[in-house]
Amino acid sequence: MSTIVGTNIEVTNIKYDSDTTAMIVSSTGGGAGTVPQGLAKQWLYYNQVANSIKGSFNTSSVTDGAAGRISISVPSPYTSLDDYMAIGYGNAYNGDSWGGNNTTAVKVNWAFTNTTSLYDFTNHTGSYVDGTYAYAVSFGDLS
Amino acid sequence: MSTLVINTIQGKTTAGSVNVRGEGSNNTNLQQGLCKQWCDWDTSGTIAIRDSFNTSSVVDHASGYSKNLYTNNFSTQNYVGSGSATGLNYGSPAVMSNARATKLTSEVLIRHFHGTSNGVVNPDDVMFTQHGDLA
Repeated sequence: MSTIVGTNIEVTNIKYDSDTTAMIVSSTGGGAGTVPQGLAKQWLYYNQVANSIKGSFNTSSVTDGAAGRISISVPSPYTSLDDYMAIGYGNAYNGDSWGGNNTTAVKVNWAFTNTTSLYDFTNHTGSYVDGTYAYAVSFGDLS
Repeated sequence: MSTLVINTIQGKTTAGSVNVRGEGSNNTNLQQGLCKQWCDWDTSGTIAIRDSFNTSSVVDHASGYSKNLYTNNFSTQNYVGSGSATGLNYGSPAVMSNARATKLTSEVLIRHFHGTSNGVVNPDDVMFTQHGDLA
């Protein structure tokens, strides 16, 4: 084992030397986690009314399946359906209203059959409604 | 195995972009994947932060509403939030943030509400994370 001590490092790629094991990073309390496991692998901020991506990472496209329902395509896919999770929320009104009954959630296998490169998001307030914002983040093992 | 002991990692080609080998053969991006702000706070009495990252303060905006203010701001309003809340008697409380029109690069307003009635509540534990591009 070798140790390099410094203040700053400029790199293009970070990877474990074996190419098969994730790089470890120490934490403030002394524990350690792996770099790739702790990173979000995909995120999206989407306007369902205008059908426009406001901000995104590892999101190639969004398909408007029906009112209040979208599917999110992840170009760099996960290893399996059991190796990722998605969280998020949105509104179910055409506007900035955020009163009662307008929160929504990421759903899996609801409007669409999800795959390692696709999951779905729905806005529902008694019925499916396109909302002006949908926030979704996913974590897991990339293939 | 080698160990680097450093304080800052910066991209060589692009300062704000470093590739990270993922679990398989694909790469992901360090800066894009990092959570840029998170906070765990108590809204049941005098509002109090339990633990946080990149959060300068939490403000009691009104009953059922809290603001998270950032130490380092986002570059635009196009960042992504997610969160949850826990506490007795709140019917699986949930959270959501204000929409882009009123969201700022320096703060977000968060509504915490009863999971069944949808009325605002002040749970013991509200948790929120945000991803996106820092300024």
